[in-house]
Amino acid sequence: MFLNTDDLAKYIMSDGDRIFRTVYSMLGDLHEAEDVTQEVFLKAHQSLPEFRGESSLGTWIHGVAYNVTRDYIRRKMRRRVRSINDEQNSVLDSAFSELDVEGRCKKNMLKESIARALQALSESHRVVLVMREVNEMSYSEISQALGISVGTVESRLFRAREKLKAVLAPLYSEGD
Amino acid sequence: MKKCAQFRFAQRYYDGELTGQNKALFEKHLKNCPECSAFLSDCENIAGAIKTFADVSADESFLVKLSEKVLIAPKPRLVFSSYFNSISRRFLPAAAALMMLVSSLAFILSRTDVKHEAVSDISKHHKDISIETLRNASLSNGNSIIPSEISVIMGDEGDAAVIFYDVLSGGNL
Repeated sequence: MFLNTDDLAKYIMSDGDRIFRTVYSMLGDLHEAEDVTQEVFLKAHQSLPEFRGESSLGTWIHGVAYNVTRDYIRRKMRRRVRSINDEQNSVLDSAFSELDVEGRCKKNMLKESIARALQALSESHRVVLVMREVNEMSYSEISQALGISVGTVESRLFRAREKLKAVLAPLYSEGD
Repeated sequence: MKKCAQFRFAQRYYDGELTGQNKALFEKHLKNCPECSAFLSDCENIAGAIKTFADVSADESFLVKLSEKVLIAPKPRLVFSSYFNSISRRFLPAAAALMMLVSSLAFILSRTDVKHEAVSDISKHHKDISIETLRNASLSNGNSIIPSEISVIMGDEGDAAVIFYDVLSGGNL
């Protein structure tokens, strides 16, 4: 199956938003998400000759998006002075402490806390959850996009949900 | 707390991965399993939270600019590495087998040439040694004769050639 630049340009107009949302869910920042989404499609454009049609174009681009976003996060983390562990701990701590800040809209607070909770997940757990919940991809599509088995998709999804549930439970109980 | 035996199906059911009879069986089980029901409820909360968070859209103008950028970007070229990767997946094993076959054939043919050259060379220079002498010399060496010994004891041209060829081919006298 051969695809050309026109096919990719059409995909950007029809489904580029899905890729943008996936990247945003991985990064949690709109401006960074735009930069990385652009990088994703330029990378996909350069790699078009390697696309062999073993999966749909969308699934293949989701795989490219994951790799480009993961590399971006790693580059960014390397630049930071703090270690990844400190970062994740502080993210978890602030997920709760910021709930107490007065004057913030409840929805925004919740959104921010969810963002931080998501950021606290490992990349591999976060991406399967985002692909499933945000883009409603099947296990098989996620497995093809990430190059992992369906069983691994299932177990990562399960662990990601368990971790997120532990972080979100106090938020929901406070909201009641 | 011990988990329900059907728990592993709960996530598949929630994600729409259970179909047909499996789905019907799980739905029947779900009516009497508070643990699986609670898990599904947690999944819904998590999904709601993530969708709230990911409720964003890319600007239309951003997507238009991006598609234009892709259209004017230099055409992707099939670089050698990717070309080689795509080709090698299918043809490398066949090419390796073909190379082994060709090199094996070349080796066998070269050995045959050596034998013919050696037989022809020895038979030219040694014409006065009988087959019996050759046989005795061979037996005294434990049924293995080497070219230098043959060059000393070689007699009849035709017989020597046949015997020498047999020896080189692994046959015993």
